[in-house]
Amino acid sequence: MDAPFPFGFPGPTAFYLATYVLTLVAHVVFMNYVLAGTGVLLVRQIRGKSGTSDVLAELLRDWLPFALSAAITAGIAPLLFIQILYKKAFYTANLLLFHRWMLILPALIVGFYLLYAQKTAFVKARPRLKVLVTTGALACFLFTALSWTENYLLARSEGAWAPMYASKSMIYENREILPRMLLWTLGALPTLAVLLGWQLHRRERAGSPVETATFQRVARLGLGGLVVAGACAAGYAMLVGPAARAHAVGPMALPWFVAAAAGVVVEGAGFVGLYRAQANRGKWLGIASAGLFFVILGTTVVREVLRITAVDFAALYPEHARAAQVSGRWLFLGFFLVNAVLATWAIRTALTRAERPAA
Amino acid sequence: MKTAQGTPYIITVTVDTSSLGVPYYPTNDFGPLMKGLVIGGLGIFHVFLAQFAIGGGVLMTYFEWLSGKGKLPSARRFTSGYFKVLVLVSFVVGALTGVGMWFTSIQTSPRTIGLMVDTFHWVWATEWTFFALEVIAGYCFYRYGDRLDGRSRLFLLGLYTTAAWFSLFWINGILSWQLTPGAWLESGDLWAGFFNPTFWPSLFFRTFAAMAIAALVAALVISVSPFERDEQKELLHRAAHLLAPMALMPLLGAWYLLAMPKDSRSWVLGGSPAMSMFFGLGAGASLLVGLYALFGLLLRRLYINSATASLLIVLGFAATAGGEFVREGARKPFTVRETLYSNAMTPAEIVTMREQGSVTLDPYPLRDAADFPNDQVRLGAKVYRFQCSVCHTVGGVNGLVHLAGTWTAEQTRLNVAKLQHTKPFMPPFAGTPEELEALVRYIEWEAASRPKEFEVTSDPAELAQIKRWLDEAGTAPGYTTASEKKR
Ligand code: HEM
Repeated sequence: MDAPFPFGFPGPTAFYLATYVLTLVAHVVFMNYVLAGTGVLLVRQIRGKSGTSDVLAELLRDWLPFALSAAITAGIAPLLFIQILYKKAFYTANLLLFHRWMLILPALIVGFYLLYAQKTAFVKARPRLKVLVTTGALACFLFTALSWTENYLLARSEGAWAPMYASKSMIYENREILPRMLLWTLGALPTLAVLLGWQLHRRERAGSPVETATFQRVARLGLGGLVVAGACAAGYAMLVGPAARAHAVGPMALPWFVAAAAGVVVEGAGFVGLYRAQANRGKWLGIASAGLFFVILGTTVVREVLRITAVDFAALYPEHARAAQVSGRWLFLGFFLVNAVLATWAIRTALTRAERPAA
Repeated sequence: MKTAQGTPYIITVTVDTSSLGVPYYPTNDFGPLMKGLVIGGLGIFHVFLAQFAIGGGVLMTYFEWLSGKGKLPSARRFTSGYFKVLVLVSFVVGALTGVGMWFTSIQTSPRTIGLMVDTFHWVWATEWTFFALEVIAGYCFYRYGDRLDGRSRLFLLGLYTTAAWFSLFWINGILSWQLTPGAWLESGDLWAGFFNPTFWPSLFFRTFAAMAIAALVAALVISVSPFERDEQKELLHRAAHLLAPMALMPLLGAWYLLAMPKDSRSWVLGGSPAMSMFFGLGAGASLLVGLYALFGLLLRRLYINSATASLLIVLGFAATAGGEFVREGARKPFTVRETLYSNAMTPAEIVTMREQGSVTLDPYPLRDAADFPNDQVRLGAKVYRFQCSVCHTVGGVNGLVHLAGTWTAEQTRLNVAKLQHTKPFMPPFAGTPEELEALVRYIEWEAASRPKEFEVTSDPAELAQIKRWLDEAGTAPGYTTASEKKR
């Protein structure tokens, strides 16, 4: 396990690890939009003056339900592969936190409908209700994030399973949980900034003018997100102890750690460019997006390395090898490509054939 | 090396017992509620909504096509309203209950879902690509449909419907494999398992059920929408076309029943009162919907208002509930036929556990261990937790105290030792005579309202008798008849 991730593992293990990480990256992108987007919407609603239009709040209100759908859809793929990679640990944590998993379903349904409720004229016309509705949605999503965080930490701590079961505790007590969740939530801000930037850019290109100040607000959100998430990451690194810190910059994770750090710099440069730009914003958004990709990919890999090194991972190789024997991967790959083409065609049809709405 | 007793219906499973690693999981206690009810309840809800999503796609594609041909001018207005209902109900609750199914399946039987994932993960991943396509095409229609020309609308709806139906196609293969794994048992070939004996009847049945559900929801939407009376009538009549294939459901049901293993069929057709009742519920509710569809909507003899439409939807839900309970129940005593028993043990592991004990290696202590009067009862409680609690409770639904509390000790020993013959939809007992005796004492202790003091039994003659009974019962499932055993 001295080679950079995912090398140094038997073929099937490396294959499932890589597939898992890539699918999780897609989930993280949309989940970040939901988590940070709902938070930002709430802040804007609390601070906003009634009667003034707020492009960012409008965009968020319009797109958050879709983003949630996308986060859930994208979450299913890593959910599948994690069961192959860490079957027993994942199931055990699920069973021990069963109240959580039974509550997540209603929480997400409520969160979903609250996001849709934001779009109704009834809620739009009532500033206090708007804030209440968004607070409710945010609470649902934070609860979901908390549950995943707790599940992740519990799954990699085998020693805690039997005592927790015997104690009938509904909560896994671990001092990493809240700081870790804070890190996820703050880390979601730069992703939101990049995606909002693209949405504004597209709007502008479609002929609706967007004020420079709005782009600047987005750039500030991204830069501020990088700073606070960075500070939080540093604090979290202090908390996890020397062994985990060493693994985060050990041979398996180092290239990815470096990629993530470089990604932060590139992303930051993209945001600075966006802040200053009067035109050609697509270029700066492209740079910020490239940086963001490396940040998410790099941190997702480092996150995985910390789990691999915390459990008896080699004992799981035979299970991965057994799973790899079943057929069907070409079927998947074939349909993945076909359906990706069809999905692109559907999006193109919708975007190019739809008549512009009356101004 | 150990070999499970083979019969013509049971494959011989040979395992190297030294590598045997039964995964032990923490078992949650749902109190008086049986685990099966928890997952069954959510499952029915999810299946109903998922089928609505598929049938809804078929219906809207049909209506869009009618509108394009100029045959139904009000179709477009209807489609836009109906699609909003579909998105708000099916995209949200349908999609999330789908995710919820993962979590509840893990709660009920992690080992079963693990085996399903191991065997079919690429099929599942393929299904996911269709699900993603369904969501994307659906959202494109939802957001832009009103501003699109007819051809583009038809394209998006067609894509949405095809993707939704293919989701059903893939999942249907996995679910039907659980009951009838077919040639997969011998060859391990994925496609032999996927295109198993109940695959086609189940696929067609579900497709027609989906169309029927969508037509019923359409009837409700039409009856509450501001259409002219004549428009309403025409829309209802057209929507009812999707109910017509229901006429084939009895045939498909019969095909499905015939393709089932003989013993499962016998549970449904009278062998198990609960299962027969659910079968009757499903068939009866479908019949009522079918009759109303024929007279009311297709022959235009009756008008349908929102109250009738709602009632028909409730009947449709009852039919789904009946069907799903039959599907879940008919698999007993297995979750994956001849591979994994309902209590998550393989046939080969039962052989080993008869000698080594079923909970010897269980790392999870009892909760409230101090409440038990002695180690024997504690052992019995652990055996109950590991082998029985997936289908039974202690004193609630299907409670052991109700079922066995009035038996004599002798009777309980015999019935548990020959569990698979006591009721053939139960698996063979999988422990040592000492574990069995402990289980008997645990049931008696619970039946006696948990007294503080409770005698420990350890009569060697009784243990020897239990051993004899266990040997007589063997480790093959109980539905193997005497003549099959001889063969
Ligand atoms: C708004 C809804 C959601 C939010 C805010 C959210 C948030 C998160 C967070 C914060 C993590 C990282 C946990 C950690 O590393 O500590 C995570 C991981 C994950 N999420 Fe989500 N999630 C959401 C919905 C979902 C859904 C619905 C699914 C499944 C369909 C899902 C599947 C996953 C998976 C598989 C992981 C990886 C778990 C692991 O590696 O142990 N998520 N999610």
